[in-house]
Amino acid sequence: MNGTTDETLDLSPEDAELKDRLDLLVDRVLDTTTRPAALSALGDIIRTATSSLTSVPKPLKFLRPHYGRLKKQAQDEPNGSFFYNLLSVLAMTMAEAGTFECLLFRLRGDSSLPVGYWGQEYVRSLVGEIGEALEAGKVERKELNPLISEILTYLVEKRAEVDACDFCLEIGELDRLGQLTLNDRLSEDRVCQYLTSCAVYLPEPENENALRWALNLYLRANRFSNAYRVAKMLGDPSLVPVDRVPPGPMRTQIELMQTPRDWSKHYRAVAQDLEILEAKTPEDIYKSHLVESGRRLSTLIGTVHVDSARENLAAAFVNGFVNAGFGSDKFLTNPSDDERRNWIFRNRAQGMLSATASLGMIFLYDVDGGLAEIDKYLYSPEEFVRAGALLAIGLLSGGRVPDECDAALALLAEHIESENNNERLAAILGLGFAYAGTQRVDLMELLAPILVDVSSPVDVAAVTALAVGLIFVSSANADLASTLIQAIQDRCVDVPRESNTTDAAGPEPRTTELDAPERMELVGPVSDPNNDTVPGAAAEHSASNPEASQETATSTSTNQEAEAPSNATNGGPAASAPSSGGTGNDAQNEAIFRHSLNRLFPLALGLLYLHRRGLAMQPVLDALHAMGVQAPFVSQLLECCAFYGTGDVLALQRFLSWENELMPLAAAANASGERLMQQMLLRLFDRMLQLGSDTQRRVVPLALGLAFVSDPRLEVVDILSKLSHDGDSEIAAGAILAMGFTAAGTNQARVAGLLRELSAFYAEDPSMLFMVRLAQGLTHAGRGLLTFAPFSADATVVDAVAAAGLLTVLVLCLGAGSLRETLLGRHHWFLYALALAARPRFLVTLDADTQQPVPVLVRVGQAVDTVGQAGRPRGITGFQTHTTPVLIGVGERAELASDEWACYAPVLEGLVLVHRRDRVTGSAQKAL
Amino acid sequence: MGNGQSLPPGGGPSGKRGDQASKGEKKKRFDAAPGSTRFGRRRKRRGPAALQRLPAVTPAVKCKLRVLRLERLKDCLLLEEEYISNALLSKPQVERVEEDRAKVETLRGSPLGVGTLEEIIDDNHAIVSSAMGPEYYVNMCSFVDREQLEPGCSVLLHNKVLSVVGVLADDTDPSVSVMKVEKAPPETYADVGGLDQQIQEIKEAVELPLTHPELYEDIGIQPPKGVILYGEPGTGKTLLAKAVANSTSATFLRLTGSELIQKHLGDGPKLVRELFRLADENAPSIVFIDEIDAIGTKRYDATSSGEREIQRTMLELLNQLDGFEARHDVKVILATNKIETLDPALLRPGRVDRKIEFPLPDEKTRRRIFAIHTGRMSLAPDVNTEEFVMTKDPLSGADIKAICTEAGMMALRERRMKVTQEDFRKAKESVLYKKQQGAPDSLYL
Repeated sequence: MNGTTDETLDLSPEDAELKDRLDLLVDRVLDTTTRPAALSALGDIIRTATSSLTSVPKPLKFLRPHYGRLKKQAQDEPNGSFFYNLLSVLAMTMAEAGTFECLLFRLRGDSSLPVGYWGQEYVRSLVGEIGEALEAGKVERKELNPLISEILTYLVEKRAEVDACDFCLEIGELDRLGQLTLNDRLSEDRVCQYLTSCAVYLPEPENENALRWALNLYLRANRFSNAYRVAKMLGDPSLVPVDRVPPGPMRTQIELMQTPRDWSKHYRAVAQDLEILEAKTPEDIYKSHLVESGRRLSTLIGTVHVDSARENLAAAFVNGFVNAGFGSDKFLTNPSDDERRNWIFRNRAQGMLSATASLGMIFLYDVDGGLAEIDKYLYSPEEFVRAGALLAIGLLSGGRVPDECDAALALLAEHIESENNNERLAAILGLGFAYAGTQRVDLMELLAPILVDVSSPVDVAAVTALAVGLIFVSSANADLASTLIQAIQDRCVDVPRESNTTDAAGPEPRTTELDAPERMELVGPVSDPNNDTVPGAAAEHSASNPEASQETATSTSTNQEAEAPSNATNGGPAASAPSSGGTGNDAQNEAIFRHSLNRLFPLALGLLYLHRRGLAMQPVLDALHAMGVQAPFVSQLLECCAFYGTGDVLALQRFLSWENELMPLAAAANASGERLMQQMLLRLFDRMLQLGSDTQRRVVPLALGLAFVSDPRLEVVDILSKLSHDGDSEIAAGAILAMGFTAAGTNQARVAGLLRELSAFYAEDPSMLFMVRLAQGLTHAGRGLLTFAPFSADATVVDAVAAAGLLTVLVLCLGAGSLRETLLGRHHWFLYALALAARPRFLVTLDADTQQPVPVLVRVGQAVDTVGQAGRPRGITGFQTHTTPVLIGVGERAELASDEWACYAPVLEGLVLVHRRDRVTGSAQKAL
Repeated sequence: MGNGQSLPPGGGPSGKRGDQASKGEKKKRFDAAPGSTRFGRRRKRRGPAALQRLPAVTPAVKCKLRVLRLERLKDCLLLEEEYISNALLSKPQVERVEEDRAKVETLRGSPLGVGTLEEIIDDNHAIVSSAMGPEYYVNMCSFVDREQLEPGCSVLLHNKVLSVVGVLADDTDPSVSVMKVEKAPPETYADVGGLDQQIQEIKEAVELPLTHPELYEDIGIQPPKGVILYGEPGTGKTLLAKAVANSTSATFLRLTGSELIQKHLGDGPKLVRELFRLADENAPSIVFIDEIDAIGTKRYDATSSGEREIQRTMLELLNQLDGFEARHDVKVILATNKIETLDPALLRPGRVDRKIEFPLPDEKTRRRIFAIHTGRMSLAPDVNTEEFVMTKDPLSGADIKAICTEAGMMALRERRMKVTQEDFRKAKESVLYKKQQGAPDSLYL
């Protein structure tokens, strides 16, 4: 078929008739006298035309040959004529790309004609042209203003909210969303959810903008709890000031989201509901009677013989994790004194510390009950028991539950200068745990001197750094950052060469050879405020005015930038000292961070900027550079933390070029929290296991553990289970620990079974068996009531404290030989940092009036991403209906099953206020 | 599980390496990458398939979020590619691939035997049987891909020591691969006279779900899975299917219902399974089954095993159409003359959602069919097809074609250069006469 003659031949009679009619009308349009009538007739034909799904409507097809003529004819027409509107429609299919005729004709045409007059497809093409034309600079923005508003109103009216958002994003004017009146709650939800989902993928300043508009829309609709959730995504909960919220259930709900109240009470109530109150012994977890093994593993419980130190220690940990939060167990809270003493004193030295500290886990979230129980251990003659008790006090709050009377501070503060090194470490770390994320200035005043003091032993300084990092996690506190950088420089960069081999954990004289004043001068503008003034004062200043602290950060960085080149150019002895430390000792610097406790300094620095992304972190990188901290480990760990849970591709690209052990961990940290990247990460790790260097391969299992915390997916567990039999013992140990991480708090039978098999497989190897036991304890943590996932509110909000806890443990396990030093060595008590990551995974519904738990029917199922879908798709699949309280795992979501109740929370998770809808009648109440 | 010698997956060298000296010595020897010790193809498909498959991107509606997510996916793939290429650059052993391959060739030896793998004894040994009959306990060479080995598959055997040196991977039934339409048929939509409605329906049901899935997602419906074309003989069902095959870039598989009837028990259902597996592997694809009434008739208490077998074949087809396993990008076109004899389960919505009827052509359509067929004929000026168009006799598209051909034959017979109206008239009579003759007479009943 070729040529026009064939085409006319092919036409059916109706088509031919239509064509004739159109030809006639076009002729009439060309004649000015008959024009108006012909125009409206043409318009009607076009408007009423229908076609199949993808083809162009016939009238438009037949008018195609006339387009040029019509266009020419229109030139003498005055602006605002219907002719132009018609041409605009024709241009939709006929104009050449890049001419924007559709838009231009519309602008010249009759603007009173509703934009939806020609139908949805026309609006879509107009939207597309506006975006392109603005980008190409063909039209003035203000010229378009009325048209854009009209289109947006039209789209929202037609329930095409997603298109409206796209349009605003495309033209970069999200503020227009604020002028729209959304139809109802559903409409608001669709817009806000769409914006928050897009924000994950937008580049850095834009993402914040999108979130802010979602926040504004929610605030405008007085949906404060939703707004609060978005504010938390933005990392600034103060954007929704609680006092602005009218008092009532909504306010209470937000307060519940801020600081959990009565967690311990609810936690135990849920346990009672699920009939798991009965305390469990480690043997109940190991289930060694199920282990298929020639030699029956007679574990220590109940039997007096065969107790290896490792096994006892593992039992202490397992006991702590499994009974976490219940306030009772079979040993430590046993009424008989002997039994208790027996449990603790079966361990030696550091083991005693960990065993005593497990009391803190058992009384997790129950500060008052815990203190009463722990109190007697504070006066034990044994120093390790005392230290353990101090750590336990810190653990009680789990980094979340507020401690009204500051008991932890009162009890721990007196020990931070203790003569006894263990007590000192435990007290400082306990403070860090107890006040994690609170950003309390008085604690900084308390701890900063230890950090600054060059004479304090390196392990004390390192733990102090960690504690400060935990307390100020994700605060981006610039003053603290410079203090930490100073500490890194003091402790790590300029250490004499021989200290590389010495045990850094022991107290060492840290008088540096480089004369201090000279160095001070070098880094003058930065370090001055820290060294000359009281550090607390600076911090106070910054805390009261966070913006000001941001400014100081930037100003210091600019100062440094100004200074850095001068250092480079002058090349004098002062400048060469750090630079030689940088280049010549690069390898040595790396080696320093191979020592696990030394890593706590850069880790603390990273924690300050956790999940803060690149812009906030950049000044610190500059500062590091300016101060001559050349070791890539510091800046890399900083980046690893700063991009935690951001899902930033560019960052991932940077990470992949690193050659050290941090790479897989950073990639996992970056990808966690974003579904697509998480899955792609699995592929990447698969490649890494095949092609990566040995150092990286060793970290891959740990990284997998970080990316899939409390989320034991089949494919992840599969990989880990394979790796747990690896010939390389470090890979195997890491994989076993990672299995514990992925299954943490889930009670998953599959992982539990795999771990049981592993316990038989590694029965002869006490170290590996210890790891298996830890993993078993984690799997059953809180008897299945806890989750360790650092993402809350439907996996959208990063919980900085939880992430900090996870990262602390993993960073300590990183690299060759680290495990042997930390978890398998003397510093196993750092494992309690996981308590920070723990969070009850219950859903408890409280009556809005009485604030007492009420049973409500809810459906719990696999979460489905419904953002941007048409209609009202179900948010969950494969659900089961339960009565609250229920448990919600990672990747699951709950919905209210009936309309009887309305809830105040944006996401059904944790403590949720509900109230009965008014129209509920007595009979329906009876039915409940 | 858990015998200490299991190797890491994917064949990276495990952590423990010998000291420098032994390492250098090792380099000289041929050193094959340790393969996976996992046997069997099925495992492979289940296991890392989750890794191979890309995550689903929601929403399917056209919107910026989708674009952003797809871009993210692409970025991740690019990073993966970059990582692999970097890693390979830093690993010199890749340059040895060619060398390795040559080495493998020499190890294999040139004349090879083919045997059947009977049983796998351990990581390195297996029992094979050769065509001659005896079974041997032999070595499996390290370079053989363990993941492809499964009991019953054909293996290459070394000519002297009979060790397994390769796998013959060919498990698709050759008769299935024949069904794949490699060369598109010449018929296009333009060759179909009329049937506008039918063309639109089949486009909406079969082509658009493959090319524009978002249209369906936009509105929030599931696209139809398949269509059935039915109608009198010669009304263009097969022609339309050919036009679909011509216009689509999707894999087109065609077969007739009778091909599914096989000699041996279980072969028919197996063929159906293989067919749909092939379709799934080559997705997006269109499966066209002509004359479905050969297997798709209503179920009844069959007495002979042959009939039962045919019914089983249909049941397998039912399962493949809308069974437990979801096949997204496989569309099915069925064609039959006798829709009323088909099993209702075959036609229920969800299996075959659209029923497209092909009626006998009306006047307009007949005119167009005549125009199409006479368009390439040299006609005498007196020819006016309007006479046949307006006739009351039931003429199908095939009949019209037959008339045109017959008329041409008559002209040829009389050695004329043009076809006259008279030829057409005679041709019509003979065609109609033959048609009536072929129909079953009531006398026989």
